[in-house]
Amino acid sequence: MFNKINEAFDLNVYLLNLYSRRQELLASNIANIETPNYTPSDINFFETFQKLTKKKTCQPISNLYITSAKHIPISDSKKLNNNNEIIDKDYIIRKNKTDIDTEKVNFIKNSLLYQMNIVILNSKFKNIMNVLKG
Amino acid sequence: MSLLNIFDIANSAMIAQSKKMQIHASNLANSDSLTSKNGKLHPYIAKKVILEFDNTKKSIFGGVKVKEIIENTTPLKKIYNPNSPIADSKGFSEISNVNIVTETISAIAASRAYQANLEILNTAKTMFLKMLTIGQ
Repeated sequence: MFNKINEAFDLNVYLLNLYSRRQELLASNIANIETPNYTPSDINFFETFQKLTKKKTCQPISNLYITSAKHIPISDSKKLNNNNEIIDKDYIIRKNKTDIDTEKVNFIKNSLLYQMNIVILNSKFKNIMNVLKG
Repeated sequence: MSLLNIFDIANSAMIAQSKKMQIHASNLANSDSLTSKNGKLHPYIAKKVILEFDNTKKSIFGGVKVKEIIENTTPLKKIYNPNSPIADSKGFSEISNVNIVTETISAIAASRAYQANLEILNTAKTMFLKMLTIGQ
């Protein structure tokens, strides 16, 4: 049951990590708007998200042991940490033109999506608390 | 923490843009100045700021920094002004290559870029505060 609760937030964890990465990327683009020979970059959101959700790479937990028969076993499915993967340059597309207006619009849009995600996350918490309290 | 990095990025950009503003202001102020080099008077040469991607964190995201301040290579104009202290025997003297219009427009552009980065800082702050409300 607790496992289910963990998994319920997996998606939001991906998304929040992705949004904050992208936010950083866009901030970097806007900061370097006047830098000569700078190629702006962006995350292809759709593709990256698909790749990350398909690839559920799990590392087994090695430092936890069951010492009593009544302990609940640790399940294999774990949430994946996509933080390092986004730093991987495969997910980043290079653009060849800097356009400050596009960058700014994307920046605001991304920030709103991030905040929307947090609102959804909070309502999920509320739902679960409602279920638990009965 | 990527949201905290945004603060660093916006900060570096604001430092770079204000440095640029400073150079443009100095160019405008000195458009009529003379500088002394090796005991000889020369007209003031306009300065230019070259910005560069700051990859000190070994990441593909990064701020911006001032690479170098170079002298504008636009040739100096000669005007007829026999009263000038640097006038030659025929009464012609060189004047500074500061272009008032270019400098003013560049200064406005720098100030707009500064404002854009300030907006980024505010947005990042809002996002950060929103993040702290998770689970409340």
